[in-house]
Amino acid sequence: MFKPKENKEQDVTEETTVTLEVLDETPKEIETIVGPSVEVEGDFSSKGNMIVQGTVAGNVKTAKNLRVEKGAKILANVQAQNAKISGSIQGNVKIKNTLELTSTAVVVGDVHAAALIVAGGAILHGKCIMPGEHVAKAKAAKAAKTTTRSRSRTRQTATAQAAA
Amino acid sequence: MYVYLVDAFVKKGPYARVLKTIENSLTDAELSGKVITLGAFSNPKAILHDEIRNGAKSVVCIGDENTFSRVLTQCADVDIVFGWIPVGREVGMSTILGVPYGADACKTLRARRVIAIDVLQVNDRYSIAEVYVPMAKVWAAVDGKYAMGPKGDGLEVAVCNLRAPEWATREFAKHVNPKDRQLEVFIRPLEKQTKVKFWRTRYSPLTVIPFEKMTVYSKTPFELFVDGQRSKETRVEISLAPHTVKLITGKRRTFF
Repeated sequence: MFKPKENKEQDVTEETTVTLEVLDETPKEIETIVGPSVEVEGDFSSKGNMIVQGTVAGNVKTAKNLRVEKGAKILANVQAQNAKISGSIQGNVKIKNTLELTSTAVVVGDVHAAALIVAGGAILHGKCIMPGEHVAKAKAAKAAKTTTRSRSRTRQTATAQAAA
Repeated sequence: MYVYLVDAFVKKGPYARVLKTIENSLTDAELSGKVITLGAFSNPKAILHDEIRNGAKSVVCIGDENTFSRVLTQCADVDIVFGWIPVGREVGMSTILGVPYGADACKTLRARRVIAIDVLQVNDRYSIAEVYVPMAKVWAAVDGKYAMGPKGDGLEVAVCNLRAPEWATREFAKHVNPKDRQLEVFIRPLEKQTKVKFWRTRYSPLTVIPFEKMTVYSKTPFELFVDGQRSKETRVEISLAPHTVKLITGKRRTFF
């Protein structure tokens, strides 16, 4: 169409082996794919699902799912809702729901996830923080404590005002 | 009222007969209007502004896709409905828009299915179909946050509005929608180029990124095709134009 004629001898059979079925399959979903021969410098953010196959030198942030493929490198912090890591990450990983480290994954940094799946052979150097049920209970108890305190304070002020 | 911009080449040679049948069909369909010949040095934008002042509501280009894109790249910000009667050799875009060749397009004009589609702003021009940078060592800065570049010798960049580039598979083609107010860039890096008997080029898997504003830059000038029109640049800014363009499309258009 608008493109100049391509050389017919070009071999294009090996292009595009990316499959998206692991991530959300809704057709109108925005997908961000960083191919293996691409270098990204800077903070990389996306609203939709993200697949990283190349190198990203900067923070990676997505509101949805992240897949870091084998051979991919991320040289800063990562933030996502769910993540499946098969490549290497040098930085902290903060995942809202599930983090899966496959056998080829290398993570050098702290990991923060609600659920963690680690395959045999995965390398993880860093702290692992998991806000489980007890943390949620502790938070709820703390919240309840503060509300009772504030209630008692309001009662005290009301009685003081009545006495005055 | 209709205004017909007829490319000068249509009036000569083998296409003169096609033009005659188009004129007859337009008269039969009661779509007659003012006919203006578009020469090599005509300024379509000035012509359209004059005609809008005289009460024109629709403009129809008669010519090949270069004629149509020449008018649209300059006049996409003009508030008027655009139509196209494909005549000539290069009319590939007509299948995307669902407009048949020659006099048959008059039925499409008569049906008048008007849709508003996104427009790309490319420096000081507009594009409705595709912005394409052939293989070059270029970098792309996206939304002012990060930059992408090739690990190897170079990459191809395509920002598509009407349909995905030919080298993208169907999986990636679903990303392209000219009505979603969203732009996507397709990047195909070169893996290696070897010469045995002839040159063989291998490409790495694609990179697809949605964006709002992108700057493609290089130290050396690179080729740029905006809807097929070639130029050489060292820096090009691509973004979504704030306005849309209204097009008359056929029933069989390839997008919804």
